[in-house]
Amino acid sequence: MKDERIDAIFNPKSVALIGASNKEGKMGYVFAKNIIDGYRGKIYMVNPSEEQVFGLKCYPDVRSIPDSIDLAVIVIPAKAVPKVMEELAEKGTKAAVVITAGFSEAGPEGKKLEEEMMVAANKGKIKVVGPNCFGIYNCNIGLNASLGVGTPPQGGDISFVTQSGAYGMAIFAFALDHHMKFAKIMAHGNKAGIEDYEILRYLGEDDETKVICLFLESVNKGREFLEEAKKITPKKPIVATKTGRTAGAARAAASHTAALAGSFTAYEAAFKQSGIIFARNGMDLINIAKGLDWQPLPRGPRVGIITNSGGTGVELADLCEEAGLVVPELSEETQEKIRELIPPYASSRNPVDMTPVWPKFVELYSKIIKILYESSEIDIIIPIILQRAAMMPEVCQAVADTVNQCLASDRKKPTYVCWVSVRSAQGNMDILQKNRVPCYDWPERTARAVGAIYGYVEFLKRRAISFEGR
Amino acid sequence: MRVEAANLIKMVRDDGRNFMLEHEAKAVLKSYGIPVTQDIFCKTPDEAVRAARKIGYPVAMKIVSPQIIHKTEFGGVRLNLASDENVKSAFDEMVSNARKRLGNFDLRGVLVCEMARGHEMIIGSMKDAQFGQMIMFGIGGINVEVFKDVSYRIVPIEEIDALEMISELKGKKLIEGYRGSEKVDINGIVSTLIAVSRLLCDFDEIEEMDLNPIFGNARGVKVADARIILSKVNS
Repeated sequence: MKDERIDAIFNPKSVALIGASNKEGKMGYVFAKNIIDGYRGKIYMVNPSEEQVFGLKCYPDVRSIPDSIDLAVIVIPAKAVPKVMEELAEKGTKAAVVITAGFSEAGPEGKKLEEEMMVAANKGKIKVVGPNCFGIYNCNIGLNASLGVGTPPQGGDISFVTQSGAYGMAIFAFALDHHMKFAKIMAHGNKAGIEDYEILRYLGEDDETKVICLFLESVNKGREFLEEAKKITPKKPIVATKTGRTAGAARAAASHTAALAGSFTAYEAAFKQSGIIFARNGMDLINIAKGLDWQPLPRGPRVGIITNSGGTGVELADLCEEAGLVVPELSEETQEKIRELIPPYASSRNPVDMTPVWPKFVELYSKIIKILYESSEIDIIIPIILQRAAMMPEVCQAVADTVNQCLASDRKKPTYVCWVSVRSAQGNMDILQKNRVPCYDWPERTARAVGAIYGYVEFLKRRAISFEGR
Repeated sequence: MRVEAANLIKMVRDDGRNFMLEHEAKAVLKSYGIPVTQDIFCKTPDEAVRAARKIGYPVAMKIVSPQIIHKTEFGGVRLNLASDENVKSAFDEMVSNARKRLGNFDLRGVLVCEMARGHEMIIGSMKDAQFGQMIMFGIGGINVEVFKDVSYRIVPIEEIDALEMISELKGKKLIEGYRGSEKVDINGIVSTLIAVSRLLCDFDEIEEMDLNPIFGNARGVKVADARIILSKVNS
């Protein structure tokens, strides 16, 4: 059963904006604009000094709203929040997103305010997101109750929870730039009224969420978090990055054991045993999520590399092996098929190096991808789209079409593109990514993302968890 | 299992201590089915000789005192003692070494122990503020701190977790019989890790634990030294 109050955060029937404003530059203006832009439920503006906001009737206070409220979005100054929370509690409000800063993160006075706010919220069993946060999105219903600009596209199935506001939103914006589509986004800031495991449980049970991304600074209730993650990872992947890994001295202790443990040790252990995919940074987080979302899971570690540059192919082969993948030499039979296509001086071994035969790129990339897709020797295909190939939109289109034709068959095999190109060709990357063929910049990021994805597959395999059809 | 360990812990608490002496810690381990070396607690040199004969030479001897946590620093560990003479003189030397440092100290006795053989390993525990009890496994005995060839999990662990803890280590090749070295009974390690995990789950008041060294060979594993530190206040 879905938590009804957390569901009210993402699927509210009515939203009240406390602190709505007509004055450009005010928080209340940004939020009013964002909410009105895409959300089609009932909207109630609240501000005693406005009659209307964006053409909607504005109420002087929460009490005067003639309806029940599912979600309250609060942008008023911190010291006014506890009282409003009391009124919301009396009204039976289900959830509140508190954007306002100046609470526990700002010192003892703010901490007291946060406590007062939570006492009021708990009295009415209001689920609180924040305070001091960036807000939430439910992209699939057009709800943007956040500081972010614009309403993201619908039809996404990645959900993203971030403790960091601005960086979390930068990561999200980066992902949108790469044509990734999201379901639900939550920036929970101080996490005063919501636990990490509760959100995890909700997203685990959420049918619209296929991939869960976490940007963590800390985890509260670690044990519950671990237990929840263990239940989810057999069904859907969780990718997490955790900052603050090196800070914080090891606990003073008498024994060897404690002296060996860094501050990140417990997180690392928890991730490993629950199958959470660890991303080293925000960009890796998105890269891994993209590969998981757009392509089927690899069945094994064997990578087939297709390149038009020997050097890049060799570097990628090295990095793949270092990331726990394998780059095997192809069988004579498969090489023979490839040799028929490529120049006599090119290599069919793996990496398959077609050499820079530009006029034949469209044909060679397509046909070699197909050969590797149909071959049982390879589990993962990585075409390197380099320089001139990247500048040719017809090559990118051919790769995208080939991959999607292959995926339409019964066989499940992922393709990830390693993209090495000048900035002026960036637009051609869109051709691939709009067709759900993930592109990663340069061999290092490619190998890291693919290695991490395969690490998840290994976790499932070792536990004999079936991922048929995924 | 649990009751016996609880009684042992209570005894230590009643004695006004929060760390367990080696034989007490090993008794707790034993109650959870964790294999430990054959040890006999002795109060006199003569008792020690009788114990050594019973266990069979060579033996190890260790001093037992609530004032001594790190026994080697007090000259309180002797290994490979091969005769009655050796045992007798080791007894006297260990006591006088400790006396030089501590004066008139609280000597409870000595432990005469079987000399275990095999690859050296370590199992430890610690508490994390967010995740609670954690278990550690390492290969390499005294070198474990240099190479940091250790893996951690949060308890409770299952068999697959224990297997993964082992396979994560570089030293796994050593215990799998690298270049003719003796293979270690992997099942023995797995069942020991799981038993330690169970103990940690049952007793949140165990603050830190060091089972070091543990000797492993083809026949199984044996904990040769053990240290358990309890939380300051009984929880």
